[in-house]
Amino acid sequence: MTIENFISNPLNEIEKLIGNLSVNDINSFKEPNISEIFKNKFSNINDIKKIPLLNKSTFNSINSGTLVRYQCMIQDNGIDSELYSLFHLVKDKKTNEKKVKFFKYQDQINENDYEYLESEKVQTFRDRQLVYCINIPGHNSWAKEKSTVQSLDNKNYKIINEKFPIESEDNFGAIVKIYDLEDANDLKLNAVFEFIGILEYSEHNPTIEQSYDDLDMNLLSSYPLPHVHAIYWNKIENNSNPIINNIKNQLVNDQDIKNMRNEIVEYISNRFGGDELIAEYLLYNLVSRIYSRIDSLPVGKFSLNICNIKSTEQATEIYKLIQNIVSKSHYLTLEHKKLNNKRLAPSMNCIESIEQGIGLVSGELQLSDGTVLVVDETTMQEGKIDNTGVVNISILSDLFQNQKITYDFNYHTLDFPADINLIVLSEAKSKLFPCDCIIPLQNSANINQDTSVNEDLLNKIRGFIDIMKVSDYKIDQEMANNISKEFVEKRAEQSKGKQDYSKKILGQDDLLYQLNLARLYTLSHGQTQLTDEFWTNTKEFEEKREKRLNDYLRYKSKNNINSTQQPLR
Amino acid sequence: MATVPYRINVNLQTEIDRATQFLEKYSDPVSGSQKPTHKYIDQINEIAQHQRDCITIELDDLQRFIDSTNTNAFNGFLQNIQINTKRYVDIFSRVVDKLMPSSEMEINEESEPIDVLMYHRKRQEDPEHNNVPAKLTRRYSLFFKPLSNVKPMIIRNVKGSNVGHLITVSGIVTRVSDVKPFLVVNTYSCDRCGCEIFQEINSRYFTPLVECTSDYCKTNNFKGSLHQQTRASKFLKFQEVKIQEMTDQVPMGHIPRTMTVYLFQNQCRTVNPGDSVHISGIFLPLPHVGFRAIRAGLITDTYLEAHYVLSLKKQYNEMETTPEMEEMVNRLGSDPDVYNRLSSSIAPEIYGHEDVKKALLLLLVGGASKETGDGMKIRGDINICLMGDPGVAKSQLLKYISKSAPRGVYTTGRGSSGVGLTASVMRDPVTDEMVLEGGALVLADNGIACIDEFDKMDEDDRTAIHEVMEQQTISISKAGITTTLNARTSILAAANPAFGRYNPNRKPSDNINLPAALLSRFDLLFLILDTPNINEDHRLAQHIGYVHIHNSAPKKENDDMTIDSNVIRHYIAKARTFYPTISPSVGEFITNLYIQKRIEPDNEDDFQYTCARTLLSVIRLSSALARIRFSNEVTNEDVEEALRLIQISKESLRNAKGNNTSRLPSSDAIYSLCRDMARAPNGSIQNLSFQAVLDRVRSRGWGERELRECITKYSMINVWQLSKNGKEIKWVSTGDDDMVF
Repeated sequence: MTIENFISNPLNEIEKLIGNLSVNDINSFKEPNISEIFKNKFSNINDIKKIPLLNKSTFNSINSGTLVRYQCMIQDNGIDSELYSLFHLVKDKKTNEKKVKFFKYQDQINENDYEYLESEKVQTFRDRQLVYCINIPGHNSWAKEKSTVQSLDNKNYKIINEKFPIESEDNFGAIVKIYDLEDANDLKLNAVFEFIGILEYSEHNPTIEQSYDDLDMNLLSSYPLPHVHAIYWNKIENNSNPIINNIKNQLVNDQDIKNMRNEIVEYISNRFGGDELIAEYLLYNLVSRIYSRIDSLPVGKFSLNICNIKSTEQATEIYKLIQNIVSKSHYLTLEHKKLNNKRLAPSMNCIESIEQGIGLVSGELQLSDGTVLVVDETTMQEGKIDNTGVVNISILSDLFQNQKITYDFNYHTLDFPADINLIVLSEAKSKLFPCDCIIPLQNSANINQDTSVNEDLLNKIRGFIDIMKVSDYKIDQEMANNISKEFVEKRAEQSKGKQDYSKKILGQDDLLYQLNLARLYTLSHGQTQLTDEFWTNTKEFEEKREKRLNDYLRYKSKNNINSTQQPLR
Repeated sequence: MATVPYRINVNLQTEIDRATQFLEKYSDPVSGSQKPTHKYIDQINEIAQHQRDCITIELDDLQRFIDSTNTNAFNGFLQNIQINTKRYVDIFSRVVDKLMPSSEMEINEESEPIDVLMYHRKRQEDPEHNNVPAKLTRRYSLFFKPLSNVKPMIIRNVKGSNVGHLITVSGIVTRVSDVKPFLVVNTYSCDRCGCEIFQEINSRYFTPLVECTSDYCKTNNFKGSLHQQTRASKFLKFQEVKIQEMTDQVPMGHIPRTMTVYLFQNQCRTVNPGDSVHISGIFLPLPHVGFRAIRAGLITDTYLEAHYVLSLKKQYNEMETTPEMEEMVNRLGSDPDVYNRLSSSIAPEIYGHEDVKKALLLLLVGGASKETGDGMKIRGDINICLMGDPGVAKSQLLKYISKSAPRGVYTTGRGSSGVGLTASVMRDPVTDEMVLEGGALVLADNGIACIDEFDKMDEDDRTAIHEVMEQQTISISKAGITTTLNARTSILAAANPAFGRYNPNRKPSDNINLPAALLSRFDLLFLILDTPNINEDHRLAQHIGYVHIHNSAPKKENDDMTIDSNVIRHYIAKARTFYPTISPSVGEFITNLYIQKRIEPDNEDDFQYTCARTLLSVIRLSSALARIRFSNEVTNEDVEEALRLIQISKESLRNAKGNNTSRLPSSDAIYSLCRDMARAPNGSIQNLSFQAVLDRVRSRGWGERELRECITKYSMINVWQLSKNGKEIKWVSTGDDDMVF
C-alpha cells in the first residue's frame, strides 16, 4: 500500500479496507474509520504535497477517481442533504459474480465493469451533506500554490457564473460531499478549506434536462460539475499565505524585526513618493482584523479612506501596489450600470436563484475573511440609482460601519459577520462609506510602481503582514487605567469654558478608535504589548494625520466656497 | 443517522382490526348530559352523503382511545402509525371503505361523472371481475394529525432516519406552485373490446399503457389500442410548496435550508408565501428520474407529504408558552418591584437612562385600545420619540426594541428602498403583476415600528406618519389602486438635533427639525444629551479598556437581576391579556390633575403644552402600568407614575437649558408649587392636605423625601407647620389676605 496507490486509486484501497461482504453481513457491518486512516497515511507534509491540486487548470488532466486536494471557499452550504445507500448489489461483468459493493465516496461505478442489480436487501440509507465550493475569490497569483501539470484536452463541465463573486477571475466550482456530518457544522459560509477527497466526474450529456415541475429547487447536483467526495479536510489559516513559515523564522530578534519593518515602510512610502504617513496608515489597515465581537460591535475594525485621488488611473495604481503585497484582495468599482443591475450581496431572492434552482447567488461582496477590499469611488458617476443601487450602497455602508453583510433569503434576511480590510479611494473624503480613518494623498504624490521587482523583499512584506495580523495583543491593566484617566480628563476639559456646539465632543467611539490604533501601531512594529512609547507615538502620528486632513479640507474649501465643512474626528 | 432495516412484527389483519375498532368505537369526550358522538363514524356518514371530502385521524384521539381501553390490545399501534405512516393511510382507508354505508343516491343530471360511471359499472360487471381500484372510487382523502405535544423539528435536523415517519417541521413558506391535477388512477378504454383498464399511479412519472390487457383481447390476440378517459380517471388537487428555515433556526455561518412539501386535495391553497408554518407529514424519498437518475445514480431527493398544516402568526396573543415559563412569569408578576426589574433588563448593555427604559417598557406593553360605540377607535399604542446627540445609544435602544417585540420593524427615515415606510405599488419580478407591497409601517401592524433618523424622513412619508400615529391606518392611491391598510403600530422614533449637537441656548423647537403637530402625537419625548460626567466617563473608559484587554465584555454588576429577554417577551404577552379600566374615583383624580396642568404657567411653553392629547397619553401610560402589575384596574399610583414620566420627559427638554441652573432647588420649587395650590379661587389661602400635596409633588417628578425636606426647611423659617397627625400643612398666618410670600 504505497502512497501512490492511495492517490491514484483510493477507492480500491478503501475496498481493501472493507473487505468482501456478503448480503448477511450488512446488518452487523462496522465501518472502519476511513478518514482517520487517510489522515495517518498523509501525516507527512511532503506526502500531502504529492496529492494533485484540483483547480481550473489541473482539472482536465486529473482522472475521475483520483485523490485530490481542493483548496476552496465555501460558497453555498444551504444545499439540501442527500440520501444515499451505503451498499449496492452489483454484478461483475467479467466474472459474472454477484457482489456487495461499498458505495461511500462514490456515486457510480464504471458501467463497463459492473452492472447494477436490484438491491433492496442491502440498502442502507445514510445522509451526506453537499456544499458548493469555489476557488478562493481575490486570491492573488503570487499566493497560489503552483501546480506543474498542464493538459490540453478539455473536459466539458458547467461553469456557474452566478455563483462566483468576481466576474473577471477564473471560476472553478465543485460540489463537495461531506460524509462526516458531525463536523459539518464547521463548514461555515465563506470559510476557506482544503479538502482531501476523491474526484468524481462523469462526462455525460451536458444538456440540462427540462424540469417537469417549475419548483425543482436545487438543480445543482444535476449539473455536470466536478464532485469531490471529501474524506477529510483542514481549515486554511493565515490567509492562505504559503510563505508564512519562512518569514516566521526570520522574525526572532528585535533588531531583525525593526529592520524588516523599516524596509516595509520604506518600500510602501517609496511607492507613494516618499510619503511615510500614508505608508504607516496603509500598513495599519493591512494588519487589522476583527478580533472580537461584543454585542455585534466589531472590535478591531480599521477602515481607511485615502482621499485626494485625482483619477481612476491613480486609484488602480494604488490597487496594484496592494495586490502585490497581500494574498487576497479585490478591487471594487462602482459604475452606475453595475450598481443598478447587480446585487453586491449574495442573495436567494432573485430570478437566478428562484428559476434556475442554483441556490445562493453570489455577489461581489462574498469574500473570505481577511480579504482586502479596495473600493474605488472615483469610478462613480453622477446620476440616478434605482432600487438595486440603493440596496447596494446601503449594504456597502453597513459593511463599513458594522463589518457585516445582509444576505437576502426571500422573506427574511440574515446578517453575516465579515472580516474584510476596507480601503476607500476617493476624490474628496467619502461620505457614502463612513471610514474610521481618513487620510488625504499629498497633492504632489505620484504613484510609482516597483521597477526592479525584488521578490525577496516582497515575500518579507507579505509574510510580515499576515503574521502580525493574527498575532495576540496585550494591554496591561496599568496602561489601560492611564488611558482611561487621560480620556476622562480630556472630556472634562472639552466641556469647560465656552462650548462650540457644532463640534462633537470626544465619545466612546473616539476612545475605541484610539485604542485600536495603538494596537495596530504596536502590531505593525512586530510587537504584541502596548507600551507608553507606542501610545505616545500613536498620538503623534494621529496629530500629524489630523493636521494634514485639516489642511487639505481648508485648501478644498478655499477652492470651493460652497462646500461646507463637516466636523471630523 | 442511519436507517437500519426495521423489522416490525406486525400482522396486517390485526392492524386492520385495531383500526376498525378505533374508528367504530371512538367517541368524543363529552361533558355533562350531552350524548356522546361517534366522531369518525359520523364523518364517514357525511362522506357517504357527499357532505365532506376528507377525514383526519387525530392521533390525540387515538391516544385517548388507547388509554381508555386499558388493555394491551393496542400495544405499539400508535408508534407503528408514526413510523410507517404511508402504510397506515392505506390501512385506515381500507377500513373506512368497509365502514362506508353504500350511497343510495339516484343518478340524475346533476350527478358527478364518477357516480354515473360507478352506477353503470356496477350494473354491467359481475362482482367477480370487479377490478376497479379502491383508490378510484374513494371520494375522500385521509390524513393523520400528529399528537399535539410533538415538538416541530428544524429542517436541517430531518435526516435519513426519518424516512417514512410522521414528522413535524417548522419553517417559512417561500414558494408556492399553482394547483395542479395529480393523477392517481388512469383509466383507459380499449377500442376493440371496450374494456375499461385501470392503471394505478404511485409515482410522479409513469409510462402510459398502450396495449389492452383485458382477457378478451389477450385470448383473441387483438392487441387493441387504449385511449385515455380523462373523465373516468382520478385526479387529486396537488400543490408543491417550498419551506425554508426561519432565521433563528440557522446556525451561525450557515444559510437556510429548504424542503419540498406536497399538499393534496383540500390542503391546497392553505399557505401563502411568507407564512410561518408548522407542517406535519410523511418524509419520503423521491427517486431521481431521467437524466438526473443516470447522473446521480443511487441518490434520491426527499419531500414531505403534508398531512396537517398549522399556520403561525408570531403575535403576542398567539405565543406558545411552556408551564415552566408560565411559572417564571407568575413568580415575576408577584414581585412588587417588577416594574423596575423589567425596565432595567431592557437593553442591559446600555448604561443608565432608567426613565427612558421605563418608557420603552410601557411602549412594549402598550395601553388598552378601545372602540367606542360609534366605531371610533382610540389607540392604545404608545408612541415615543428619542432625541439627542449622536452617539448616545439611541439606535441601539431602537434595535433592541425592534428585536424583542414580536413584530418589530427597524428602519431609517431615509427609507431603505423604494417601498419606503408606507406602501408602494411594485411590479412582481416573476409574474410581472402589479402588487401592493407594504412598507415598514404596514409590516409592523400590531407591532412596533422603530424609525431611526426620523427627522430626515421623506416629505411623503411624514404626511403618512400623521395618519398612522393617530388613525392607525395608511391610505394609498397609486397606480389605480386605492386602499386603506391597517397600521396599528406603536412608533418609536429617534431623531438627531438639527445642528450636529443639541444647543441648549436655543429653543427646543429650533433644535428639533420636526413640526409641532407631529411631535404632539408622541406620548413621550426624551432628550438624551451627551454631557461629560467624570464618573460616568471613567466607567465608560474602563469598560472599553476591558474590552481591549480581555476581548470580551465585562460581566455586568447586577447580572443576576437582569431578566432574560425571552422571559420579558412572555411576561409582556401575559400583561397584554389584561384590559385595565379606570374607576370613577381615579377618573376624577386624572381630571383634576389635568385641569391643574392646563392652568399651570409652564403651559406657556410654545413647544410642549398640555392638551387633550396629553390626557389620552396619561390614560394610555397608566393603563400600561396597570397591565405590568397584572391588574385590570388603573390606580392612582399608576396615574402618578404616568405623570411623572411625562414630567421627566418635559424636564429633559427644559433641563438642557444652561446645565440645570435654571431649575430651582427642589425645596424652593416645591414651595412655590404649594403656594399655587394653596391659593383658592377667591384669593384666600387655604391649608393643604399633605396627601394632596404629595400627589402633586410626585406628579412633578419629586418624591416624598424632597417634600419632607421642603416642609422642614420652611417650617424653620416659620412659614408653615405640619399638623401633629402629619396630615395637614398649616400656614402660619392664615387668613391674612395681604400676606406677602
